[in-house]
Amino acid sequence: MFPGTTILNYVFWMAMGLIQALVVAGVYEWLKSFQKTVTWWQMGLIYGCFLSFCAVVAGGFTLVGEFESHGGWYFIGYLGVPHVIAMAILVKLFVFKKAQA
Amino acid sequence: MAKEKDALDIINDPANYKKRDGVSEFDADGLSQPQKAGKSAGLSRRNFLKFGGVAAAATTLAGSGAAGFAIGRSDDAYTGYGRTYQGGDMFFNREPFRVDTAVMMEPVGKVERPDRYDFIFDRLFEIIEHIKSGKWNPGMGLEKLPGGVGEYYRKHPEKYKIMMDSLGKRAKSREDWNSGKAERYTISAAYTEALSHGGMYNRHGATVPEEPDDVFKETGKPVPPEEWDFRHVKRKTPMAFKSPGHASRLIKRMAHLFGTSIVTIGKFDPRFMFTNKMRGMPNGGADWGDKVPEHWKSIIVFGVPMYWDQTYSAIGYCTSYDAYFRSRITAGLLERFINELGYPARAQFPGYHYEIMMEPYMLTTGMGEYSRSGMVMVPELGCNIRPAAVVTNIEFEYDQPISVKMAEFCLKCKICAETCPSGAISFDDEPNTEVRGFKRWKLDDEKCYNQWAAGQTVDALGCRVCIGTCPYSRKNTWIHTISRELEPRDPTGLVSTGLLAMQKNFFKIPKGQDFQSDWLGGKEATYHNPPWYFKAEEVFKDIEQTWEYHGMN
Repeated sequence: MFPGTTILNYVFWMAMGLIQALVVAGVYEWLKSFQKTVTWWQMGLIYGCFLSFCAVVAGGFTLVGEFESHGGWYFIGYLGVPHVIAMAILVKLFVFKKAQA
Repeated sequence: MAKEKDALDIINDPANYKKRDGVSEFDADGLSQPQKAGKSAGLSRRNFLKFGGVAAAATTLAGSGAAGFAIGRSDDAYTGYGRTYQGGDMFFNREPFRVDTAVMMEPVGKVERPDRYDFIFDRLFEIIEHIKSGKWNPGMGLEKLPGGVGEYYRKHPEKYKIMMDSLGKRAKSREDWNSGKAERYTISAAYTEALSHGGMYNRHGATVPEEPDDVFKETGKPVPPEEWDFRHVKRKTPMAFKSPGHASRLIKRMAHLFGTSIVTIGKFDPRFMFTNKMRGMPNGGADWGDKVPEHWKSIIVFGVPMYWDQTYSAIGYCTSYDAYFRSRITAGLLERFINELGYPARAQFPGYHYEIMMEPYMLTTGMGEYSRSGMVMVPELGCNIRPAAVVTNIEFEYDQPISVKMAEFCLKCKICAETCPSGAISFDDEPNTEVRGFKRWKLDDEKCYNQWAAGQTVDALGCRVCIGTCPYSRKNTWIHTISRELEPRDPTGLVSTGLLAMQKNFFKIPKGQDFQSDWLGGKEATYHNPPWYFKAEEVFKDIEQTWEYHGMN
């Protein structure tokens, strides 16, 4: 990630790990402001889907980095869109669910 | 439970704060007086979490992309160049995949040893020798072609026709280079020549490894292996290893120290030794027969990849000599090291300095599996490996073959056959051709060389398109590692099917014809565009780009 340094790679990945706490805390705040609640496992599924989407983006850009740009963009397109759809379904099911009778 | 307040809710609830002088700490908007005084409404804890969370999610996504890009572009992706000298570049654990017999190495008929004329370069060199000496020229026809090569081609007249066509194309290629037509390939040509004639074939005797044929040519005295292989042994008795395992561990470590990427060790199997071929003997050992030197008991097989960016930009921007050069260095150093321990050793090394076929030994020692293109694929590097070996009589702990489903992948892939410019690679669904007792996809070596001769390389040698386009020939990045680790463990075959679908649909690979030279109707296409340092027009004056690049960036 940072050629020529011995420390920045570790700092980068530690920072990436730390901000994940902010991502999850932020989601809870948004839910609260919309007066929605989700259980821990529902949040886990949504967050897992987000991480998986991040992995697809990382995979695509890894290919781009390897000068496989054509493959990289197709990779993100073909695998990323299903992730977005899956996340939308999860949000609909767990967040904007119908009120129980 | 969901409706219960958590600790943060309790802390933040204004109702839980005591009034001070009749004034609430919080107003109806939930902001404290100090916050209002400082006009820092946007920095409330709640807003920080809300908008910070969105920013963090966006950063995570962007960071994933950036990290992925950096990993793909990083020098660390260029696996196989000995970033460490501890063998750490062998990042595929073979142990779960050991088998008794290598895939496609179960004999289906009488096993026959290869003859020297089964090796196309022995045929080619003999023809060139006849032409140079004036004994024969193509105008005299096949019937008058003398020697063993004449006998071979009279048995295979269709191959003779292709070889004559290849010689014609080679002459045309030479003309192009001499006339300056191929100046776009100036840098790759200089790179090739530097490695080939600066490193491998120095005409003043400074070659690594030492070559018995050179000594024979200089002295006229035959140098049999019983003499040559012991030439640097100074000890009266060889150093005794504590166990075969100790010997294997030491020699593998030394092979890495001497620059190799992958190393395996096996028992020497004479079935894969050429007949009528022995370097250091008259006529290259044409009268050697089928003798096997008694001290050839074990074989150390090792290899390095060609540089990745050039390999992906075959034909014109690629050379085998970078990997040849490195594997030769390892061979020469390891040969001498073993001699110093008191054991005989004989290097088998590229381009043509062998008494053995390398591929079967790579299979039987568990380095990799046979492929459709006729080469051995290894899990770490795919087809992009250039092997060498040292034969000795050290007693080792031998490596077992492996089965990692690479050959199974070849059953359905066929990308190499589709992109082969000369049609030399079989499209057969199964390996149906019996070659000296084993079922194989047989590479048509004559057609393959025909493309070499017509390619855009300075020495009319090599094509390497099949190596670059093989889905297994990929760098050492996490995304390919996941594929390599998952695919051999998947009993359903779904992983390989999915990977192949992606490979065929996501990646832009030129058609076979497109790789050919322009004078044969091709586009001189490449799978990847060449790296900047091989683009002559970017660094030299007077080279105007009159061509298009067709590869991926």
